[in-house]
Amino acid sequence: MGATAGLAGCLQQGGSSGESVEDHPAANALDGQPFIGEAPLEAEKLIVAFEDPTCTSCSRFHTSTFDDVRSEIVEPDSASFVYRPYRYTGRSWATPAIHAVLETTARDRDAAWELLGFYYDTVTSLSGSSFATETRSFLETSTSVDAEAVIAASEARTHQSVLETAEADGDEAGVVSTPTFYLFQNGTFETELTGSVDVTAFEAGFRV
Amino acid sequence: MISLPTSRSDWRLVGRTVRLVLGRPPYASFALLVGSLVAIGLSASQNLRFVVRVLVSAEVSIGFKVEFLSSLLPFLGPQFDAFHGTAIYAIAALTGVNVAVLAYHLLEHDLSVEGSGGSAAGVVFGTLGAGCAACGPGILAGVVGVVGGAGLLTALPFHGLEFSMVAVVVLLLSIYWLADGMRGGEIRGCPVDLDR
Repeated sequence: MGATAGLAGCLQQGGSSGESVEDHPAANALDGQPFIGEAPLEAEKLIVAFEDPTCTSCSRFHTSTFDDVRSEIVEPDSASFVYRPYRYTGRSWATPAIHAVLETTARDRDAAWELLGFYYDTVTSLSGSSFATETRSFLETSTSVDAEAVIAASEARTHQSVLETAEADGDEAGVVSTPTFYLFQNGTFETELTGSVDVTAFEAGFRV
Repeated sequence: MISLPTSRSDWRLVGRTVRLVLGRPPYASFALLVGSLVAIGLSASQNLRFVVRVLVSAEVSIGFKVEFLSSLLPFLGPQFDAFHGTAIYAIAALTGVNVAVLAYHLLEHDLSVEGSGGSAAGVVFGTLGAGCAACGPGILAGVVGVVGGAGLLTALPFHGLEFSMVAVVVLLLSIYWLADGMRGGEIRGCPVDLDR
């Protein structure tokens, strides 16, 4: 599990400010991850978010701050917000949920964000036993994505290498809890933010 | 000999001592200042270096810094849920009271820190516990990470809120021990313990 960041993450503190985006582990292998805004490596401002769909703090971020980040940073600027999976809570439906999100991303990126939003809205009520039924029901009623194909990919762990790469990158970057955000501007690393912070923190991160 | 508060009169003693100390404006102001700093410090603990960087930066206005700091606080920003937010304010308030009573005890009763019961332990537990109250367990993840178990807190039933509860209990005990040590004395000319 990615949560065992351990000593390396503790000491590295998210890399040094000014490090190139190409060299920073948080921005490694972003292909196939859900994002909003411009293509991640072409945007002036880049936010890489390590999140667990079963994490209540991530849920709070998405219900309280995410729309503000979208409307106040991503949409008006040349910016991109990228989601990278990182299992932190140890809840049983984290792994299938991440695979479902990644499979949905491959089919319809907007639908992937809707699915993520669904998981965050129902984070306290979903369980390992209800996960497949609830996911199928949501995809069928709220998106045009082939729900059965997503569930099949989720059960087959189709995107395991993407997940493991993201967690290894998160560990190397210094993630010790979720959500953790890495902010880049004009191709260089600016700062790391941890927790369900307000949009003001993101604005500050790009200004100081 | 350290005793535990076991009766209503013990808690009445605590209430009376706190009321008498905070009845003096300098100590009430001191408690408010300490409590505010503790609340801000605990709320910023997950991103401490970044928060300091923003506060000392010349790139942003004072107004933005105030808005930024406010957004970190429980109930004013999204960082904490209601339970953790309440725990942070409880710890901040109790720490403020604790330090104010300790200061009164030291300054007005001419005592040393060595004779001040569990106050230092209370403040230490307060800091540790509220750092843990931050859902992304900033302080403890660093500490626990050293021994390779950063995910340990997620296995706890209340994700670290347990530590905050311990902090509250320790701070309450600390204030009681301080008040207990002030029995027989006077605050603002009033006897601390009416039962004696």
